[in-house]
This record gives sequence, structure tokens and C-alpha cells, in this order.
Amino acid sequence: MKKVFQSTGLAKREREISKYMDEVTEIGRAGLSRRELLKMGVAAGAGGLTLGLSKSTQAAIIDPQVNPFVSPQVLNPWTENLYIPPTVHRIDPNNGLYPAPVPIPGATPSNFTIAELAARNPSSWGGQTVTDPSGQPLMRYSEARKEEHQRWSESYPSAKAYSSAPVGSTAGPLKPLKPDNAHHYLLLAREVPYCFYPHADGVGNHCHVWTFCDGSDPKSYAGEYSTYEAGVRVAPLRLVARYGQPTYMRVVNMLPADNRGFGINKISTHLHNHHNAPPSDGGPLRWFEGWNTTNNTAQFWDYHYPNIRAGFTGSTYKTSIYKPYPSYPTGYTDPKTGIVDNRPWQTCAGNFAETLSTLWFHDHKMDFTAQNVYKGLASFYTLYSDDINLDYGDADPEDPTAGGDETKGLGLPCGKNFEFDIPLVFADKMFNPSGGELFMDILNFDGFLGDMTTVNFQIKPKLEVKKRKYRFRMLVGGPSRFFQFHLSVDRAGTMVDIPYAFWRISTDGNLLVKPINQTCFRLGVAERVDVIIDFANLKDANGFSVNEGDTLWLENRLHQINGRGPSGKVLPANEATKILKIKVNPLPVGEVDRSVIPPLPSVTRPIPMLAMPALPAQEAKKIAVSRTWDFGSSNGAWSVNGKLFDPAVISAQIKPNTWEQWTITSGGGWAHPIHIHHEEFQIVSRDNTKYPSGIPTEEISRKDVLRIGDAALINPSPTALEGASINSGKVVIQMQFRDWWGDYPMHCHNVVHEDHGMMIRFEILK
Amino acid sequence: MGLAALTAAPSLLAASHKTHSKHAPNATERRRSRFLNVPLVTHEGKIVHFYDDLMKDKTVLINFMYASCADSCPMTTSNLKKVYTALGDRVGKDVFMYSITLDPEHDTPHLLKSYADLFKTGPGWTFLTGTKDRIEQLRANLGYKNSDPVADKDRTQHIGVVKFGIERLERWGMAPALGSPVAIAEYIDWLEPGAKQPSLEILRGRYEDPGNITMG
Ligand SMILES: [Cu+2]
Repeated sequence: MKKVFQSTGLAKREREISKYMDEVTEIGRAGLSRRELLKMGVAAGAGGLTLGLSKSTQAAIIDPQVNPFVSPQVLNPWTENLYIPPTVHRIDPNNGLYPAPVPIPGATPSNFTIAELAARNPSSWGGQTVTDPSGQPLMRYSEARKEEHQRWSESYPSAKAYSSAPVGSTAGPLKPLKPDNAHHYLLLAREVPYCFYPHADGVGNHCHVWTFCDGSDPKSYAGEYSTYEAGVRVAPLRLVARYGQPTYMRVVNMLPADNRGFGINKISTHLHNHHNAPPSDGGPLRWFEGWNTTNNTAQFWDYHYPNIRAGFTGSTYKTSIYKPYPSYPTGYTDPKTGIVDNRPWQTCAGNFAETLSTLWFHDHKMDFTAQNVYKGLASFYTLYSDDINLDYGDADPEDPTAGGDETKGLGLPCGKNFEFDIPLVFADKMFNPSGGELFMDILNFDGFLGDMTTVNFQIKPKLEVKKRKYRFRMLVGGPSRFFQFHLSVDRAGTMVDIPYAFWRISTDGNLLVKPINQTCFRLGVAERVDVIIDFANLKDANGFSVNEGDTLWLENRLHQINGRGPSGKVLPANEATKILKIKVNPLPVGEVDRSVIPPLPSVTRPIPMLAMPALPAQEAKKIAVSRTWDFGSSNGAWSVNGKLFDPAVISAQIKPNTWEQWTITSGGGWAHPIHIHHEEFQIVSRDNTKYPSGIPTEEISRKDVLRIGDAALINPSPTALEGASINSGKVVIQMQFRDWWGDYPMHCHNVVHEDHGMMIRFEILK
Repeated sequence: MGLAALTAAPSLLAASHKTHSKHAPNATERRRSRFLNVPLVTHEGKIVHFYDDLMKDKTVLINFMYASCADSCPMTTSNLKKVYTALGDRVGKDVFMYSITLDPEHDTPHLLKSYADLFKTGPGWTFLTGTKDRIEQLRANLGYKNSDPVADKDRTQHIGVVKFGIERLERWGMAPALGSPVAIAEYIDWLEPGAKQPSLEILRGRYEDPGNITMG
């Protein structure tokens, strides 16, 4: 392990700081003010200005993993309980969602004020009055969408009831979905005073985020969120969806024109990894406006997520979405009402092997994605597949008869109110030392790094767990930092590794064919992984079990000092690699952990995980077209095939229901997490199969984000824990294009690169 | 804490970050701190300060160029001339265009004046030079900086991007300097408050073959 990236002693560090400051002073003499000087320091920390420092000096001084350089220190680390993203509540489509959803916007009335909305049905908000926030004049919100929702008559809300049907098993009927079918949500995108630091630090709401708030909660409308006192957080959220039940999500843009330094109050909400039509994809060009105080107007957008598996149209668009599940019985009796439902039950269509689980939605406004997402516009979308008795979870959290039954489906950890199914978003931030406002260097092209890692928008929190299995849905939220996760246990102040702590069950939004037992894993921006950690069965590297009362550390050990990508080195466990404290508590008497890690031979419920969709070669099908995409730098910005993003241009026109093979290449010196909207791909080869053999096991999966460039992969040799990385400059993928038509982007999900040109649009022809 | 204190006792720096200090910079301070206020000279020989005179409260387009650059600079400048035309009478009123030289040692105000004359630029479009140090600081400040020092030395790496923004609202975007002039003018509209959004025609897009296809 190279020591150069470690703080090796105060004297040396002070000498280095002194040298650094001398160099800064030189620039100061050139006529910069103190504030400009500070900004230089900030920009240097973010990998912006280098000020002619030698690399090692830079790293020692500004490496946020060694020492926060700019943000105020945390006074009470690891004391505050982790915020768990709460479930967004459904809203009554008849009164709560007014005007009612329409396929083609512009029908009367197509606009509303909050007063009109509240008057429709005061009980929607528990009898409380809701108003526009901040004592503004009443804003009139109209829909910005101009395009029709595709396949409306098939997929909303007249869609027939259909229900859970076991796959490959004769297990009994599960639960019919309600006939009104679609679930409606009202989200408010708004500015919220916020506290990332432990409330015990006493800094109050030191900064502001722009984020999604639950419009079914009257508190979400409160002007300055006066009801949110110390200790309460409001973001991010979690929207729970299930296959076969469309989600209709209205986002109201209540963001102010004043951006406090960065961001723009024009937003486009992208549901990352979902398979749906462009008007609901939330691409870079389909944004809608926040408050315009010159005429008191603003806009909303209705997103229609049919929650249908990819491949549902088969070989033609004319086929109906919903295919009856052939051998499924009728005559299910509702346990609550006793009503017998004699409709034919159906399972949601599409290719079962394309079932998704962990998605997220975030802003995608052209040129401003990095700024707006960094500001807080991100939340989870967890998609359950109880219709095929697979990922059962608590697919309908508002049904009191349900409740995260862990004996159904794969038997993944969930529990009532998702107690054991926890989403975690990791994002690094930087705060202005004066006043603590969120800071971002928006003039930097390379990528932006913060010096504080947040978990669910919280710095250095702690999580109390019971000694049992948990499912963690881990998401790297950006803007530019890559992560490598490890788990260690505190042994009298020493951090001792816990090898094979993670049972990885997914890659991006996709459940794997079988779980993989891992010691560590690497994620680029927007990549996700679901892991099961069994706190009742952990052993440290010395062979000692983890017990009640032990303290564990979730760590990010990947070394990265600029926005271009990780250095490739892995840091040893130390104070600065800790990002979440986990305290192990006993499993209360009477509680039993019925969840399982699928599909271990010993478990009694051998429901298999799903196989991968077949590739063309496996089905003797043909690749219709091959394309090459080179992600590089050009003219000081980031490019695809040598060109910066041009919003008017379509770079690929694709015949529907065809397979294509894309070769993604990238030169050295940087790393890019490439994201393709709408359709998932499978990796066929990396660097002509130069990776020790083929591709990493976890990449034998469908994926929607692809790491390419420097330190793309962990070296799987035994020295991997010592930090070696493998670069990967050429990746071949195969994918097909189905079901919906129109334009979708492909871009780098280092969102600073995306905003600086690294994006193209492709079109699926109708 | 002043500059001297920072230099003399670096450990104080850490001390100052132990807690949140109360004073948050207001918008005016924040805007001012974003850009260097270095003195520059215009092609008309006027001395101006970058932030106070060129940026504050304005909508601006900024690019870097140098007169002796034979290849893409003239193309860029003539493309920006079309942007200038597309912006109509806004230029000089609330929109201002700045072309800053990367070669201040050769590009004197006089030479830049001839360059501007050559392209028949008009009011509202200013060519700027200054001392080498200040131009370099400004280039880094505006993000025209490659963290690879070899690439950074290559001037042609810094001329392909035009940066634009509404300083008053702190909204900043960028586009290829050789991009469609009408589109670049439109991007500025897209930054403004109000409901200007991409047309259905733009959403639909225009296919341009990147030459990256093989069949099968
Ligand atoms: Cu990138």
C-alpha cells in the first residue's frame, strides 16, 4: 500500500499545507481577494484548479478521504440514526389528482392552483388546509407535456385486474389487485431548508436542498417547513410499485428562480432503468418550469409508468399488453370483504427474465443534471414482482392485510413497513465553510467531488440493526465519485475486515441468476446493487463472529482525487473510509427471521431466481446492426464519437424488435459510467475478453450502466484487497429495442460529463 | 482571518472549519466570488474588469480564441458571427459576447481590432486580451482547463466550447462553438425564466449519421 495518500503525520501535513498556501498566496498577490482565494481552495478540492501543485502534494492536502478540506467538521459523528426513505402515499385520483389524468394534455381544465386542489377534497389532507409554500401569490400550474401517453387504452387505468400467479409452481392464489388499478402519486419538487449534519451539532437547517416532497402530506406545503423541526428530515423518498399496476406520478414544479448559486428551476424527472415511453422517460429535453413570479405560473408533468416487463409486445406492436395467464384459476375470495372475484386472473406480461427491482428517479435537465441532482432531486422507486411470486416484499404498503411477508416468493428480507428492506443513496457533498450552504463548482468540466460522503442525505449517521438478514439497496448518487464498498468490525478500536459480508442479489435494477458472495464491490454513478447482509452470520478476518453489541463500519475505500475517475488505488480501512456506522442488536424475543438468501440448498422454499434473457447467438437470431460509440474528450469538453451533445440531432435510428451490438470504447485517463435509457444490455466481452477470464461474474446480468475507462473493475487476483484495479477501454454489448417508440438518450452518468457534451440521442422507430 | 494569517499558521485553517461560522455569503457576494475580476483590455483599447464591467447582471457568451490560429478559430469566429446575427438586437443590450485570446503576448488590442474588423463584428461583441498571467487565471476560472498538463498546453483544446449564461440568475451552460448558430441562440432562451422549451420538432430530432454503423 502506498503511503503517499495517507496523512503521515502532522508535521509533514503542516509543511504541505504551508507549501500549498504559499502557492495560493502567489496567486493572491496577483490580485485575488480572500474569498477568491477560498474559492481556489474549493475548486482545487474538487479537482478543478490545480495551481501547479505536484500530484502528491495535492493529494495529501485535498484528498477528501484523508481530511475534509473545506466543509465544516462534524462535531457529533455516528450518533444520529440513519434516515430511512419513507414510502410515498397514494393519492385519490378523483380528487387528489386534479385535473384528472388525460392521455393528451390540453383538455379542460388542464391547470390548477393549490387552493383549487385543496377545495376539491379537504379530507385528502386529513382536513388540513394546504396552500402554496412561502406565502407566494397563488401559482397556477399547467401541464408542460405536449405529447400523448403511448398505449394509453391498453395500460391505464382501464387495464383489467390481474393478479399474482406463481411461476413454475402450483402455490395457491395470492392477492388480486384492485380493479381501479393505477396508483396515483402527487410529488412536489420544492426547496427545503435542510440539515445534512447531525442535529446535535446545533447548526440548524444550514443549507437548502431541492427535492421531491410527498404531496399527500400537508406538511409538504408548509412555507418554510416550520413543522419540520430539528431531527426530522424530508428527503429522499421511496415510491413503491409493482408489476401489473401502473404508476401515475404527477410532479409539480414549485422550485424558485433563485438558485442560491447553482441549479435551474426547470426540471425533467427521469425514472432510471424503467421501460416506458419518451413522454414519461424524463429525458434531457422534456423539462417543465418552476415558479415564474412575473405572471405567477408554473408547470407540472404527468409521468405514466405502466410497470410492464420489457418484451411485452412480442414481435409486433399490435399485440395486447395483457396476456391471460393460462392455467390460472378464477374465484378468489377477498379475505377482508368476502367478495368473490370471478374475473380471469392475469399476470403482468413481458419477459419474466426482464423483471426489475431497484430503480431511482432523478432530474435530467439538459446542461443542469449535475447541479439539480446534487441539489437533492433524487429518490427511490422499488418495483416488486409479486405477480409472478418472485420479489414479493410489501408491494402494496397501504394494504393492511399485506406486510412484507418473508415466506413468499424468493423470501427476500422485507418485513412490515420495509423494516429490513432499506434503500441507501451515497452522494458526496461540499459545504461552504461560511454559513454551511451546499457548494458546487459549476465551472469545472472534469467532475465534481465533495469532501463529505452522505448516506440518505446525512453525514456520518448510524444504523441500529437486529441480528438477522437485511436487504440493502445501494445506489451511488453522484455527481462524479465512484465507490468501493467494504464492511469491517470494530475490534477495540481497530477495524477488522469482514470477508464475504455481502450476498449480492442484483446488478443495477436486475436480480441476478444466483446470489454472489462478495467481500467488496465497485459502483460508478447511478449503478445500484441489492445486497443481503446476514448480521447473524458474519465472521471477521480473524475468524471471530460478529455478536450483539458489535459495531460495524460500512466503508468506501476507493481512492479518487479528481472528477475524472478513481485513481485505481484502494485505501486501507481508516477513519476517513467510514461512511455508515452499524450497531448490531439482538433479535427481540419472539421475532423470527424467515427470510432467506436465495437459493441456498438448505432452504425450504426453492423458488428459483430468474434466468437471463437469451442472446441472439443462443437463439440463432441475427444481430441487425452493429454500432461503435467512442466516449472521449474533444475540445476541452466531453464527447461521443468526437462530437458534443447537439439536442437537435438523433445519432441512431433503430428498427423496432431488432437486436443490435454496440461497441463502447474510451481512451485512458478517465472513467465513465455510461447509461442507456429504456432498454437494458448484456455485456458480451470486455477488452476482447482480456479480463482474467471473460467478464466479472456480477456483470453476467442485464445492466443499464456500464463502467468504462480507468479502474473500471476490481482486480480479482488475491491482491485485489490491496487495491489493484483493472482498466477497461472496450466493451461489447448486445441489446434489443422493443415496446415503445421515440427518442432516448445514452450518456455518461458522471453527470458533469453529461452536462458538458457526453450524450447522444437514439430513436426507436415506430 | 486574513490572507496573512492563513499563510503564517496553516493549522488555523483547520480550526476555522471546526464549526459552521454564522455568516453565509449573500447572493451578491457569491456571484462576485465566482468570477475573477481581473483587468483586461478590449480590442478598442479600453481597460475593463472582467466581473464588474463584463459579467455583472448580464447575459453573456464567452469563448477563447487566438488570432494566429489558422484552423478552427476562423471557423469558430464566423460561426459565432451567425450566433450574433441570430440573437438580433439583443446583442449589446442585454446579451454580450466575449472572445478572449489565449495568446495575449501576440494578440494586442490593435491586432484584435483588425481581427474583429476582418469578421465585421459589431457592437456588443468584444475581443479581450490582458497579461499572460491574468488570462491564464481567467481561463482556469472559467473551466477551460485540462487536468492533463500536456493537453492543457495545447491551445486548440480550449477553443471548441462556448460558455453562456445569465449571470444575474447564476445559470450557466455550454455548447460546441461550431454548433448550429440558431440552436446556440435558442439555448440562451432555454435558460431564461418562462416557458420556452424545445419544440416538438427538436424533440423528434434530425438524424445525422455518425458513420458508426455496420450491418449485422
Ligand atoms: Cu464520463
